[in-house]
Amino acid sequence: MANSKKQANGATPAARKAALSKPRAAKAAAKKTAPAAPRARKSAVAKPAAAKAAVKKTARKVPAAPAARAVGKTAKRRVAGARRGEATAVEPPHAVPGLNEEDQIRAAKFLPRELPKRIFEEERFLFPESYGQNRIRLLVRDPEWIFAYWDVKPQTLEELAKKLGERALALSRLTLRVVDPVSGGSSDILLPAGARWWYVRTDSARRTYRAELGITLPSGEFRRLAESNTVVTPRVGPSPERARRRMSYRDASEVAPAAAALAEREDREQGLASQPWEAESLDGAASTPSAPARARAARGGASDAFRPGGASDSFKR
Amino acid sequence: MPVGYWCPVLHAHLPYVRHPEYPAFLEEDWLFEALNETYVPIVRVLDGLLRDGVDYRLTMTLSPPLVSMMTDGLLIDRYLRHLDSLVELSRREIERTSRWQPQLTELARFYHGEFQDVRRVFRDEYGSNLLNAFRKHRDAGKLEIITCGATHGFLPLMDPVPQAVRAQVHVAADHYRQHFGRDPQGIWLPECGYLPGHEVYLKEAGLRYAFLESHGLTDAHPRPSFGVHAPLVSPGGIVFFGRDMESSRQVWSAESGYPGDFDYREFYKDVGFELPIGTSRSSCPMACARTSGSSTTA
Repeated sequence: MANSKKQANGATPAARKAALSKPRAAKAAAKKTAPAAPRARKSAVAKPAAAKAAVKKTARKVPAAPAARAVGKTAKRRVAGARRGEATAVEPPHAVPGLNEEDQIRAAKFLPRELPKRIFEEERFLFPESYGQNRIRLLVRDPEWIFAYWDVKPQTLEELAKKLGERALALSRLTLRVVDPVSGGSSDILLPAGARWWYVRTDSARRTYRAELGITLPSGEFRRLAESNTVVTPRVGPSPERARRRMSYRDASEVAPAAAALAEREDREQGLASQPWEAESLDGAASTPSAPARARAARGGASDAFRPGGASDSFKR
Repeated sequence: MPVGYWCPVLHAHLPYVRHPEYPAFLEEDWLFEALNETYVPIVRVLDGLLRDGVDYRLTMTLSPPLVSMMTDGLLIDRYLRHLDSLVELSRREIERTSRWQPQLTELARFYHGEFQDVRRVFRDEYGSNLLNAFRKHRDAGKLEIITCGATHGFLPLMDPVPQAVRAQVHVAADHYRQHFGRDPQGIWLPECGYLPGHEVYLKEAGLRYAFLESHGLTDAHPRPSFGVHAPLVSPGGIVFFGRDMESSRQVWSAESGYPGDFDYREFYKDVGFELPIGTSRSSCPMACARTSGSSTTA
């Protein structure tokens, strides 16, 4: 059961994309018939950019031959045109005499050419390897897996090396301690050196987890470096507990002010202040219909939350 | 008395692509294709319903990135240029096919008419701003426009940085107010991703309802007696609607849904790739590296 559920979970990211009915359905149709197509297209997009960059680099290194310089000039003119926002067609940068059009296009691929400045390449931003802090965070991937990622301050390790000695530190292991702060229990995962993230298998039950990143010394002592956030994994499958209350929506404009005030007080008592909702017990509904249920029957209600007389379930507090 | 209600929700989103530093940029074609093939056709259908006096109801997400692109001057100019080149290409295709492939001439004529009509609706009828069309249908009381995450970010993964989740929701709501002049009532959570507790942000932003994946409702605690067939109210008062599995499969599944049916067009079949170099490309002023949806597509 767990396995099939897992597969279902694996499939959901794609399925999640779908709307109840999706405007891009027709487009998706084509995409789905040829599943490789979108990816192929993306890589096709990425490759020319890389190729261009490569060409650009070589163009800078190699001193330009007279012919290439001439090309450079036309290219610059073209760039200027593009900057002025003219709808200039991207013409072949260079015409090699004696070749037909197709061969010229092919040949042009290997010619050095200057391209308009690509802002996002010139002002390149790279995420740093480390933010220089001891920090660990948990993310729930699905009911069965948690993803942990962390950062360790280099000084922390240096200090430890000084305090314990290089040898002791070399024999120590980076450790992920996963604990359940609510119902107790913990387990240690000895991590390989240099690990920056880890997937942790859960109990496949609704449970609370917190993690501590630390170092297990050769003596077995655990030195904590950072503590994570607390996450709760969802239950796998439907809840065994049935909803016992039903909410019905009353359009604020339809309710007389006095009745609204009364309902509001009742709501407040039930912890549902200032909501245009009426709560009703599902257990008693069958034998003696409550006021909202009677009203709904009179109005011919349906399960539409945004029409008066609609019904829906709510969490039980 | 109705047995039940069915609520069609269209989710319209595209990643934000805008490259002023290039005269033409391949990925911007995604927007142009979507406008040609989806958004303008939807508007045409809605206009038709309104004209025929059909009392329809439709909910539609217009994601903030999409709205921003639809109202961007540069992208609109480029789209109009793209449309002009498609009209020109399809005109040439009528000439070419009537000489060499008469069996495709009818198709070429269809596309020529289609592109001209798309241009008429987009440029002449709605002043090159499709939001005018969506606002018109909203004001007629037929279309409910809802919002989405500010950049369509997957909220559960942002949970370790709550400011980011809050920003996604609040920026989206502000963006909606700016473009539609009123408060958003509902949100399509990006990828239907929801983490219990995120309703706080939705409530803060004044949102009243959201949509969840089917198992978001069926696996809720406590178990709702109507499954996905009735909305669910969270303790904070946000209403969650679940996706109907059967309809989703029909719309989305490549195996059993109609996207996989071969009556549907092969979207990536493209005359721009198939004709010899020089025939189509030199005839287009620009952006004819791909000329999707053109006339030999069948």
